[in-house]
This record gives sequence, C-alpha cells and structure tokens, in this order.
Amino acid sequence: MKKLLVTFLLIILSFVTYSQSGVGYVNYTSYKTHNGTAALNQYGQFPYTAAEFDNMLNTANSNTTITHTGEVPLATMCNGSTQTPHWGGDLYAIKFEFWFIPTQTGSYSFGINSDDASDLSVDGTMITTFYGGHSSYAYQYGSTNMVAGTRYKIIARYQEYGGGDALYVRWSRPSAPSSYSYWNEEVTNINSTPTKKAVAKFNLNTNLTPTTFAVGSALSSAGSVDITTSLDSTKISSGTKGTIVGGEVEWSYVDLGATSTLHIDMRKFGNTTPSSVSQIKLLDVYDGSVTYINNDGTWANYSIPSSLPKVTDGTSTNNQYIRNGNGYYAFKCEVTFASVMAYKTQSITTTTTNNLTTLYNSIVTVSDVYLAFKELANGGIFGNQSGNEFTYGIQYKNADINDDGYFNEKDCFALLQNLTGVKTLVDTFNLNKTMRIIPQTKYDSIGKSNWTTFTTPLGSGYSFDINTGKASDTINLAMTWKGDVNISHSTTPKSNGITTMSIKTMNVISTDINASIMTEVIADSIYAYITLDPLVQNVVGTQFQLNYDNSLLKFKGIQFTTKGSPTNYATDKGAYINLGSLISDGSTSLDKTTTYKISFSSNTKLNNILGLISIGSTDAVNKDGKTLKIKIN
Amino acid sequence: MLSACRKVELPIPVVPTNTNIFNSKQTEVTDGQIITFDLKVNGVYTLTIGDSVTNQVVTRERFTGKIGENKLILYTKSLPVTYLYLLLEDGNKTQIGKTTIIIK
Repeated sequence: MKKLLVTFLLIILSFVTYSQSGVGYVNYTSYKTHNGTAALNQYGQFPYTAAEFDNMLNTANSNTTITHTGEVPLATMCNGSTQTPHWGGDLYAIKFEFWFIPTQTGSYSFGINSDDASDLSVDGTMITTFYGGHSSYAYQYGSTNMVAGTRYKIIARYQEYGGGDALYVRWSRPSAPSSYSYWNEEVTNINSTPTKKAVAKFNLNTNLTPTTFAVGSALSSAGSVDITTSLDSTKISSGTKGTIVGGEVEWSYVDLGATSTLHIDMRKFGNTTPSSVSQIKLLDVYDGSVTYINNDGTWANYSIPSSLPKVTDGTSTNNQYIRNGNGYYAFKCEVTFASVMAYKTQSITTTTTNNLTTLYNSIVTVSDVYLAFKELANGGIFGNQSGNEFTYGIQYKNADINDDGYFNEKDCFALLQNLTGVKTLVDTFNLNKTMRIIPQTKYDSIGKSNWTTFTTPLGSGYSFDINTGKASDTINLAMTWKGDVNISHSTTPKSNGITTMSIKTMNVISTDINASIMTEVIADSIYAYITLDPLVQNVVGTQFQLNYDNSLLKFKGIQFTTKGSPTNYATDKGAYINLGSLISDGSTSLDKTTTYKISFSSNTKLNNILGLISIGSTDAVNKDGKTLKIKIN
Repeated sequence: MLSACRKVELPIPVVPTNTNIFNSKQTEVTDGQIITFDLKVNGVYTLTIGDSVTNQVVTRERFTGKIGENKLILYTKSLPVTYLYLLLEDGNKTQIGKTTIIIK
C-alpha cells in the first residue's frame, strides 16, 4: 500500500514538474557548475562574455551537469529566481527559456539584475548583460523593437559561484517606457503555434462563375476555398480572466439585478490590472464576460450581464460559500487571474479574374433600374420603403447607390444614369467599390424594415473570428453587389421566417419575347437593325449589348423607333454599344414596331461585315418588374 | 506634316480561302477568313451566325449574292461564343446551307 502511495505521489509530482502550463510560466534548466567543488580547470569563476557563459553551461565540460529541468511561474524568475530548483547554494547556474508575445508594438526595454553573472537574449540577440562576479546592486537594461502578437524566444540565465545568489528580470512596454514590471500575459513556456483550419464557402449566385473568384487560390466550382494557410494562428492576449473559487475570506460580493454588479477586493489583484479583466468564473454560478466599471480603492467593480439566479435559487453546489447579506451576496473565496489568449481577428481578400466593367453590364441592367423605379413609385408618399416590389432587405441595400441609408429618387436616378451611360455607378469598377461580402447568417437576417441598421461595407476584404473552439471552421459567406437590385448576381437570401421578409417569389422568367438582328452594308455605311416583338408581354425596358469590332468599325449613332415616351439610351463602351429603352413609370409599353438602327463607319472599304457586329448579353423587363428572356431569332 | 495627317488605311488581313463551306459539316475558322459558297440564282440572301448551344442568333448579314461562286469575309473578333452555326438563306427564308463553325 505504501509503495502504491509513493508511486501515486511520484506520478503527481512528475505532472507538477513537467506539465506545460503555458501563459505566465517559463521553462528552466539548472546546472551544477565548477564540478560543485569550485573547480576552475575548465572555466573561470564568472563569465565575462556570452561565449564564456555558453562554455560554462556546456555539459561537454565534465564540470557542468544538468541537475533539474521544469517550469516555474514567471514571478519566480522575475523575483529573484532562487525558488527555482537548483543544485546547492553555490556553484550553480540556471537558464530560463520562454516565448514572449508582446501585446504592444514598439520598443521593449528588458532589465536584469543578478548575483553573480547574468544575461538575456531575444531570438539569439543579446539584449542586456551583467557579467562578472558581483551582488545584485543594479538593473542592467537593453531594448529591442517588437511587434505585437509576434512570438519571440527569450533566454535569461544567471550563475552563482559563491555568496549571495539571485536573478531579477523585468521589462517595460512601449506605451510606458519608464514603468517596469512583468506581465504574465506576454509570456508562455509553450513553444507551439496553435493551428486552425478554415474553409471559406461563398454561396454564389448561379450567374457568377465561382472559379473566376479567388481567396489566394481560386474557388472551387462549389464556391469553396481552403484558407488555412491564410490564417494567422498566433494567439494574443485578449484581457484577463478572474476565477473565483470557494475559500475562507469574503473577498468578493455581488449586487443582484437584471445586470448584476460584482465586487472583488483590490488586494487580490497583485500584478493584474483590474481594468484588464474581461471574463469571470464565479464559483459555479457564472462563467462569462464582464465589463469593468471602476475601482474605488477597496473594490474593483464589474458589470455582469446576468441576474445570477444560481446565487439565490439553491442550485449552486457552492452554497456553503455564499452568504445572503440582505441586499447583497458575499462569497468566501479565493481569486486568481490568468491571461486570456485568443486568436487574432482574421482577414481574407477576394480577387477576381473577371473584367468587372464588363461583368457589371450584366449585374446592373434595365431590369434593376425598372425594379428600383417601381419600388420607389409604390413606396408611398412618405417613401417608407414599403413598395412591395423588393423581396429582401438586401435589395434596398443594393439599391441605395449613394450609401446614405435611404433608398430614394437619388438612387433611382443614379441607376438610370448608369444605364444610359451618363454616369457610371462608381468611378472605377473594382471589387472594393462594388462588392459586399457578408456572413450568410447576417445576410439572411437583413430585412425590409431593418436594412439600414446593418453595416455591410463594400470591399474585397472580409474580417472574421476563429475563436470558435473548433479545430476547423467553415466561413459561410454571401456575395452581393452595389446596384444589383434584382439580386440577379447576388446570393439569394434564405427564407427564415423573419417578419420583415416578404414571401413574394423572386423574379421568374416565365415568357420569352422575341428580337432579331440584321446587318448590312449600304454604300460606305454599315447598319445594324435590332427589332423587338414583345409578343404578349408589356415590355417596359430593354437592354442590348451590341458588340462590334472597333478595329474596323466606328460607332456613328443610333436611330430609335419606339412608341410611348421611353428613355432611349445608347452608350459606346469601346467594344460594344449598350443600348435600349426604359419606361420607368410603366405607363406605356414597347410594341413590335420598336426598332434600333445603329450606324457605323469604317476607314476600310468593306464588301461585307459578317461577324463584325453581334449581340452579346440582353435583358428586358415587363410592367410587373419581371425579367424577360429575349429570344434572338 | 501632311504625311502625318494622312488617313491610315487599315489592311485587310491575309486570309486563308476555303472550298464551299457548306460542303463540310464543321469548319474551324479564324478572323478575316474568306468563306466560299455557291449560289444558283442572283438575289438577296442572308447569312446568319448563331450560338450552337443556346440556338440564339448572334448576328445576321443581308447581302446580294450572284450566281456561282461567292466569297465573303468572316470576322470573328466580336462574336461572343466560339461554337456556332452558319446558316445561308434566300430572300424567302429558305435554307440553302447550314454548317458548324468553330472559332480558333
């Protein structure tokens, strides 16, 4: 039985000695030097250079042997170091190793003070030294520039030949260069970079080709891309967590309410800054975030977003530590603090191989413009965004061209100007000015009445959190576009029962209309004719992309034959003409007499023009706002 | 100065010729290629190029054809797709020939 107990204790001891505690701990290696007999045949009493120190700790020397290894709290090293296990009272040395992850960027100053010799290096570069035999009479400082969140390897070592012995370590941060201390949250003895895996999944509209978009690598045909290599999986300090466990003294109490106020005795904080505490585990009654209020010199006060029902309902297993103080509840407890390490906020950037200027001619078409006008017209005299033409909240967001939080006539006018070629939606068509990447869940919750409350910035970049507790995350993303009012190229939001969502069916292509093209050369002039046959549709908008070979042809003009009073437009885009008609109020419609006669000239005598002019993309919209498919015969 | 202001005549590309294009089921073509076909009567004809996949017409040219061998230049730079059909019809929309062309 005794043997079993000893074995058990040894197992526990081995865990205590070798477990990797991480934040706030440093690893150490203790040496017996000078053979433990003050022998000087292999090195001197004290090192006077780094090389001499290296030699003293080199176990190839028979006078040097390793006696202990393990880890100690950072405070042990910083406050004298002698509590670190070591051989004897003299003739020993200790090497401390740890990883330093600064919380600030800038110059860090490190100080060492020792009896006898000591030095400290950062990533192999000696920062400060205190060589030779002496007492610990003064700190020696050296500084180095560091980048917040970057992992640096620090080695601090000291040796003791005879007499007093000690090593003290401290440092100051860039924000307060004269304020020296040590901060647990910047130190860890675990040399491993946490890794995470992540996949970005874009739920793209079928009118977009996933493989033409990339996040580092091109998206798969399903819209996914592994972004693991893009992740920065270094953890950084993210505040401090206080843990309150049962004890003997009432170091803490709470005022209960819908939001409760927790008070912790200031004497329990030690080196921890009360304002850095962002999380609290309070017995078994609460484990979560808190908000620092203040400290009054006696108590540090925190707001807890809970009424803490377990304090009063008797279900806590720690009731023996809880005292009802008539108006407050006190806790017999002990309080400890530890740094909370968390992954940084991650970011990805999307690129595309699409020519966005060309792509946008498909994204924002006459259908979008008409739908916007129709929504505006039906929105009531107060413009209360209830025209019942838009189905989803994101349509308002996309139609809000000037991003002022209102969908109104200014936006419709901007859409019309873009269609007619007067002024483009943006000065330059790039992803940063046209695209929105939105988390799918957020995208789905953008409603018709609350769309102005959602921040959905334009841009190719997207930031996200990977502190999910999972080894691998899938980042589900929606992609939408400025001006894509009918969301023909945007992710279709999911129907989620939110009352602000309409259940109206999206545009359905139900009926074709017909059009035809004819080109001919007459003398030195070249003509293209596009004619329309709306069949049974009340067509209020048309759009044709008429391609032409601009190395041989020059656009001269267009003659519109249209009934009613449509806004007819034709814009020379260089390699194509964007042309068509729009009756924005839907008061009349285009009929089968509609003809567009486009004229070109050429510097070259052309006997025929087969293939020099062709129809690219097309769009049409009927009075109800439905997109129509044009059949070119 | 005068020379600098003179209008530059763009050259018509040197192109390969072809035998009657409608005698082949499928022909690979390049920009500026001359296509050849025979007509039995003088008159107004149309050549239509359409997308073989969607069956959408992408362009059509009306021209005056003559009896015997006719040669026209086929331009491809502005065509939106590469797998197309070429259809020859007379003034009554009667099909005279149809073939597939693939832009190289």
